[in-house]
Order: sequence, then C-alpha cells, then structure tokens
Amino acid sequence: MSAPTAPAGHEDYEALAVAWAIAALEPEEQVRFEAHRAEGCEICAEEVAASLSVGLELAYAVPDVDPPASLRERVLGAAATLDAGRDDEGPSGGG
Amino acid sequence: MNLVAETPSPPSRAEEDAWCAALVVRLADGEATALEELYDRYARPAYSLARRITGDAPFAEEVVQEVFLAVWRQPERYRPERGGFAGWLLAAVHHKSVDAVRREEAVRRRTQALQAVEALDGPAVSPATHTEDAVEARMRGERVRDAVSELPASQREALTLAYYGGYTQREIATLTNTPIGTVKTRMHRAIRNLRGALDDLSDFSGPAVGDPTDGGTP
Repeated sequence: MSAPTAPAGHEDYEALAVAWAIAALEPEEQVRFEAHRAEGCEICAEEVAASLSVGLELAYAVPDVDPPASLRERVLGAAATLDAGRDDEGPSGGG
Repeated sequence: MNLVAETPSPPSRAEEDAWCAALVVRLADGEATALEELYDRYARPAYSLARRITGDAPFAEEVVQEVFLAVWRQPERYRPERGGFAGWLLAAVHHKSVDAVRREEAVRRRTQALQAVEALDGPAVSPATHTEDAVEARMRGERVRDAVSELPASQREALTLAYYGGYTQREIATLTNTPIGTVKTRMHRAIRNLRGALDDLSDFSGPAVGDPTDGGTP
C-alpha cells in the first residue's frame, strides 16, 4: 500500500509477484517475472516478501505429520558425505 | 544491560530469528551439529508441508532431504536482510514440493488437489519440540485456517489449489472452468486479504520472509 509509485503497466508484474511467491506461474511467466525482478524492482521485492509471509502462514496451517526417524539419519549421513568436498567450493576468506 | 520491564509481545519470534541467525553462521562454518539442530527444529513442519502437497511419503522425504542438504551446501543463499529463516526454508520446501507434484501424473494430482481444498483440518504443525512453541504454532495454524475460511469461496479455491495443490494459474483456470484473468485476480485478492487479516495479528505475522530460490530455481 505504501510502496513507491509504480510505473504505468506495472500492476501486471505485481500480480506475477504474488503468484511467483506461491509457485503458481507457468514456466515462461516465471522467467519473465524473474527477469523483471533481477532488475532490482523494489515494488516487486516488497510484494514478493509480503506474499511469502502469507505462504509461511499457509505452511504452518497444514496437519502435523512426524517425519520418519530414518530420514534424519539419511539427511545427516548425506551431509557428512558431502562435507568431504565442501572445502573445495565453499566460500572462503572474510565476509 | 538494558532490561525492559514489560514486554507485551511474545518473544518467541524474535528469539527464533536470533537463533536462526546464529545457526546460519555455524552452518557457514561447516558445523555438523548446526545442521542437526536445524533439522530437529524444522524437519516436522517441512515434512508436514511436503507431505500435504505431494500426498506421498517418499516424495516428501526426498523434498525434505534436498532442502536440508541445499542449506548445508550453500547456507549463504539465505539472505537475512530479506526476512526470517523459517519462511525462507519452508518456501523452499513448498517450491520443491510443487516441482515434485508437477512431475506427477495429472490424474493423481487432481484427486490430491481437490482433497487439499478441504484438508485444512487437523492439528497445526509444531515448529519445535518445546511445548510453548507447539502451542503457539497450533494457535497460529488456527488463525490462518480461520482467515482462509473467511475468504470468498472462489478466492479460497484458487489459493488452495495453487498453494496446496501445486497447480499453476493456467491449470486452475482449466480445472475450474474459469477465465485465466479471473483466476489471477482471485489469487491476487486472496493473498491481499490474507495479508490484511494476518497483519491484524501482527505478533504472529513476524518479519517479511526471504527468497526461497535466490531469484532462480533452487
């Protein structure tokens, strides 16, 4: 609502931003929106962030299911395996 | 030290953010225990969401594994300035689940999605094993479900088919025999209405969440 003034025709992107955040776009629309977003559009960044917040709430609204215990072992085991090659590509130096 | 005498809002969201910020630093340092802690805290909501969307235990496990390993490999893809970690993580789970569903057969998905429209019953997920967090999560889930149930039926249908069913807007248009433009408008309004409803519960809406895909495919 208090976003910077949008250029004419920008509403289309705002609708795309909402749908992008909940992964409802067709592949070609997704490409189009991501190109626009990569230009650093602040209005769309705000729209995406707000829509993702709603998505988070929707995520918390689903019925609770416990993951199997074996999954934990698999994930941590796979991480330990990956760890061996991690130093080669990991970010190095100060941040 | 600066002790504020009375803090009216529940501290858990701020605490969660602080906890996550510290955790991301440890992940970047390659601390395996950080991944374990992250898993123990979020595996359940992540799995619950993946399970709801894919309707399939092996798929859900695959999604959860992929997302946690992606975080382990590239923790720097999380950008704190864009919002909270939980939102980012669960958005990644959502996107991966939707991707998995889209690789599925249409018939199976249709059944799944139509169930999803009505399947918001049942207990909300617990983000952690702490009792107070579980209670808060339950309340939070109830508020969201209330807000969703108060949407006009057409908006609710468009949103749930997209979010929980993994359908694109075009597919929803076909499925519900509605013009694509109408579907887009309904979805946009549904999100706006929910934003409004959830902003009223500002203690629960928390900070805006970050980007699950860093601008591209995860």
